[in-house]
Parts: sequence; C-alpha cells; structure tokens
Amino acid sequence: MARERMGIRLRLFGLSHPQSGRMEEELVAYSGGLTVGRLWAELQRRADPRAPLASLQRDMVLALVNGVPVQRLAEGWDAPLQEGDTVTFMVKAFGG
Amino acid sequence: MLRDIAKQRLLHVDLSKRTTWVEDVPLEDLQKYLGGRGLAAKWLYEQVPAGADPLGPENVIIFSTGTLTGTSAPSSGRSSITTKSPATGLYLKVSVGGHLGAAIKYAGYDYVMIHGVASRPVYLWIDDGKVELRSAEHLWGKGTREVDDLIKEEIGDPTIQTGIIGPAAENKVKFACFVVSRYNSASRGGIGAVFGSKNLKAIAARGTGGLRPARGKEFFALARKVRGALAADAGSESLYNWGTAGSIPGLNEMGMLAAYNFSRVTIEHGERLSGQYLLSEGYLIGRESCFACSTACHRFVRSRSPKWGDVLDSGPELETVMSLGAECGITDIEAVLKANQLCNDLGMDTISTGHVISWAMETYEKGLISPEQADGLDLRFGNAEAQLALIQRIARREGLLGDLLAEGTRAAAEEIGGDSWKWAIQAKGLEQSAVDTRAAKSYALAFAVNPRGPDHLMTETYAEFGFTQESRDVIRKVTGDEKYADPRLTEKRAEIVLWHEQCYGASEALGFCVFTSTAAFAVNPENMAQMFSLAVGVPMSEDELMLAARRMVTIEKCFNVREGARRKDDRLPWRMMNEPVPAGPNKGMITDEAMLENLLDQYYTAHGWDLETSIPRQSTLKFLGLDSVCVGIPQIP
Repeated sequence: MARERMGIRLRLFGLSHPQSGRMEEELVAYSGGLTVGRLWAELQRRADPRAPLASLQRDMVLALVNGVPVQRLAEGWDAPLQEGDTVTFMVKAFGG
Repeated sequence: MLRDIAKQRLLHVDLSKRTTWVEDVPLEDLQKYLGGRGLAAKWLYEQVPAGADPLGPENVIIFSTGTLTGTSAPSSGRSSITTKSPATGLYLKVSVGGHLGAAIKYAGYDYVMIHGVASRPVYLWIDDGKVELRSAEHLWGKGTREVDDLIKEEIGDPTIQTGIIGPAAENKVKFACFVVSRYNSASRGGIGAVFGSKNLKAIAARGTGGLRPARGKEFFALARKVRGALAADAGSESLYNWGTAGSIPGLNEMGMLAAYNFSRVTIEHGERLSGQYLLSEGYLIGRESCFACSTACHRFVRSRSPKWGDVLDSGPELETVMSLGAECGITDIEAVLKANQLCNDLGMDTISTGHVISWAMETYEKGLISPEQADGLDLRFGNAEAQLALIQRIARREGLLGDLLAEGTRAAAEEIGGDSWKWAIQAKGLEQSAVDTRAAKSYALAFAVNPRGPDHLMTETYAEFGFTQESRDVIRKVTGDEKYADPRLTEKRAEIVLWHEQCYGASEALGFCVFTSTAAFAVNPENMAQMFSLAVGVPMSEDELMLAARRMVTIEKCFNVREGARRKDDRLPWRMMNEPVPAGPNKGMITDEAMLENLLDQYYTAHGWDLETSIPRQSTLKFLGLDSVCVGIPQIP
C-alpha cells in the first residue's frame, strides 16, 4: 500500500483477533483516490487470516467516516476519503 | 396435564382479605386484545379508579404471561406487569424475561391480579394450581439474592421460579424494581414500590402442567421455522456474542452515547463499557437464555477487583453501562459491575438510579447541591466511590440526599430548585433511557408519546437507522420507500412509530422478546398472527393483529387521559428540546418545540386522536370497539 499524500486516522474495533474488545488507532498515509470500500478491501487483504477482519462480510461491518455511517453518505462505500478523515470499522452490534 | 392455550385463566389474589379466586377469560376478549399486555391494559382501566394512589390499596398489579409463553415459539417467555406508576401517576407496563412466566403458566394460570394490601409482609406461593400466602416477615429487609435462596430453601426445591423485591421497594423508592428468576429485572416506573406498598415481598411458582395449541402440528412446524430464521439473523448473533452492551462502541463513535448526564455525546475509552470488552478482558463467564430463547443475550460476569471487591452477577445491559457508567462519567468497568450488582440486590432500576445520580453530580458541580446537602460525598462526575455510596443511601433512604433522590429526578429538581429542572433528564416523572433523541426523530416521537414516560421499552424504532437490509425492508414496508431509513428525517416518523408500537405491543401480548421483532426482524406481524391463530384456534390476520395492538395502545392512552394527561404532557426532557447536540457528526441537531409539535400532529392524526388535547376521538374508540371500555374521559366526536 502506498504511504503518501493522504493522512487518515484509522480506528479498528474488535477486528484484530477473535474476542478483541479494544480500540486500535493509527495514523496512516494512503495514496489519493481512496474510497471507503477500497480501504476496507485493502485492510482485509493485509489482515492476519485468523483475525475477524479477514473474513467479515461487508454487510456486517459498521463503517463510519467521521462518525457518519457509510449508508448515509451519498456514495456509500464508494465515498472518497479526504485528508484528515477519521475512518472507523467495527462489527455491527444490535439491541439495547 | 395439558391445558388448551385458548382457555386462559386469571388468578385473583386479594391481599387485604387473604382470598383468591379464578376467572376464565372469554375467548372473544383474548382475540380482541391478544392476551398478555393487551388484556392487562383493559383490566387496569376497569379496576383502578381515576385518581387512585399508586401506593394505596385501590391500585392493582397484573402479572400477565404472554399468550404463547410456555410454548416452543422462539423467545416467547416474556411477561408483562401492569399497574399505575408511583413515579408518574400514570399507566405503567414493564416487561421481563426469565422463567417465572412459564412456571405460572404451567401451574395453570395465565394472569395473576393482586388486589389490596397485606397487613403483614407476605409472599405468594403458586404450586401447580394451589395458591398460598406465606409470611415474609423473616424476608423483609433482605436483598433479592438472599431472599431467592431463602424461599427456595423453605420450599425445598431449588428449581422453583421467583420474582422478588429488595429493600428499595420496601422503602418505596420511586424506581424500585422487581427481580425475576434471580437475574432478570422488571425495572421501570417504580413497579417494585407498588409490590412494597402491598407488603408483597415475592411471588414464587412451580408448575408441571403443559399447554396444548389448537393445531399443534402446524404450530410446532411454524415455531421451528421462525426459530431457524431468528438464529440466522445477524442481530441474534451479535446479541449472543456481546449482549446488548455490544452497541456501546458504535454509539460512542457516532456521537450518540449519552454521557455526563446527556451534556456530552461521547466518552473517552467508552469501549471499556462494552460487551466486547467484557468478553476480551475475561469478565464474561457465561450466557443464559430466558425461557424458550435460543439467542441467550443474558450475561454472567465475574470481577475480582482489589478496589471494589468481588462481583459475580448478571448483566450488565447496555442501558446499565450507559446510566451507571457514561452518564456518571465512569468508564471503570469494575466499578460499574459493582454498581450493577448493588442495584440488582437492593432492587433498583439501573436506568433511573444512574440518572438520578448523574443529575445530582451535575447539580453538585453547578453548586446547587452543597457539600452539606451531599452528606459529605464528593459528587463530581467520575467519582465511582461516591456513586456506590449513594446507591446504598437511596435504597435505604438514608441521609438528606438519599431520601430526596429516592423520589426521582423530577421531585428532586423541584426541591433543589434553580435551573436544576433543566438538566433533569425526565418527562412525565420517568428518567429517560440513554438514547439521544436529538438525532433520531422516530425515537424522539416515540419517547414523547410513550404513556409511561420517555424510554425505548414501549416502542423501539431501531429500524429507522437502516443499518441492515432487514431494517430497511421494514421502513420500506411502512413508509413505501427505504430512503426514510434515516433517523435525521422528520417525514414519515408517525407511520414508523405507529407500526413499531403495534409490533411491539403484539410481541409483548404474545410473550415474544421484542429483540426478535424490532432489533432482529425474524418474528414479524405476519408470523405472529399465524402463530396466534394456530395456538388459539381462531382466525387472525396480520391486519387484525396490528389492529388489536392499536387497541391496547389506545386503552393505555385513555388511562392517562382519565388521569388528566393531555398533549402538553407528551414532551421530551428540557435538555433534549433546548440544547443541541454539542459535538460530533450530529452537532447542532435538536428536536425542538416546533419540530416536536409537528411530529405530534402527524402522530395524533394517524391515531385519530384530537389534535388540541390528544384525547382519542369517540369515532376512533367506536372503530376500535372501545367506546364501552374507555369510559369516563372527555368525549370528543
């Protein structure tokens, strides 16, 4: 993955290993033209095969860009990411 | 011995006269009101006169099992308890899981109606059709867990099911609860205080009978099919994995986590309050199901905290970690587990307990509660030690503040004065559950019109978020277009709320856990109607089922109208209507006066209620067949 031009704050919750309940955050640089969907696909490709991230279906992912669910973005998973965006991925959870 | 599901039986217990009698429920009433919560609403209207003291002998408690409770219908073990609330002075229904409902059903009863007041503390023992009032004087003053042990020991059977109040209910704390099957709680509106006022410490039951559906083979086949669909639903998997507290990280990231008495929408390290964290850090030691449920969202946790002591307990639920945790500025999960255990044993609703304390913390920080009034407690946000001390004082009404907070935030704010009422997160006298209604308009409307006060436990409109295809399908079905699966919109909110309150009402009348129908969507009005029909042996279409649920919602409304409640009472807490979301992606959002009025217009119009007063019109009552039931309210053509 090219690490240049675009800085993104990436937050992954519960995706690095089974039963994980911690938030992992890193500042990463990506090449321009990145979308939410491409970022997710790239993360899945690079993931440890044993991690939940590797096998999670996209419709089970809560993907947020600056706290806004991708379903509410006009382009959905194709929404382009901008410099300084915070992107969060976690497994959807229900009930309350 | 098998009993036909259609032949429902109501057990009356008069505590004043120490008498009991049984009434058969007419089949046409079961068909018209669906049983459970529906019939209880009708009976409450008939039994409790307007103006009756909720803590006096005129009030009744109606424990109603769901019509399908005790069968193999998935997640159908819920019961409702209906009464007049001491917190609001209005209608109150609380729902609870566990196994007590099924035990009462197998003992030969579908409903238990408690009348009068016992002269001395008693508990009710129902044993396969035999009914007995036993002395509870040796149990009075004791915590719910100890009483559970003692009753089981006394009966000589560890498998019996119980419902118990703790010391808080004996002291008539306005948010005392009723703990069922040791680890499940019927929590809201001060239901426990009504038991306490009647000197009724507990209900215990054992049943060895069974139930016979009218068309058994078809009923069991359909129940199996729906169970399979439920097991495959993504919502069920999530609830099994993490329980309800699995939603915490998402809410925190979306800026929708109620924190610091709703003055903030996120909290640092909020994920430490989550179900995922409980699992990953080794606190979770087991899961359990309510009767007939394969989801098993219920948790058991163990904590060995050097600071807070050992905890071995159930939960905590989402609302518990929000109210006792984030709302009070606390993310030390071990402290929250301790607070939860205390509330469960003392018998207090964790939502209201967390809210009265977070209100007190804000009031203290703003200087309206002095250190002297706080009885020496440093009540700043985040002080878990002070919170734990205050929980005990509230339950026992100890000290000036403990006694004051035991009355709830509305009464406490009236006493403290100043602007403290503005951050009392309550309406109708009930503390709001921890949903930020400023950024979710169906929730806002549902909370405002909720007959028991602002919470999510009469109408859960989770589908408006549109997080899953199933939820978007519901929104499309209700509104005609999936684009309305957006909580920021005000259009079509009345349709969404009406559908959900009816779906919720039908679920509860039949005994289904609403997670199956409004969080997961495998149980739906169509298959609920089919299951009712096959079990009871009478025709029931989806439309008839929803109409019956609308009937129960209307009776509940009429109960409040008869008590004097009007449109002006359908409100949200002041902060929710006057202080916009302070930060995050929803920054600036608000459900203000004008917006709420618009939503109420939509809702009352859809219901056929008078716009000026919110009173159901006579034409509406006649259409629903309630004109001879809902008498004694102002008649509007």
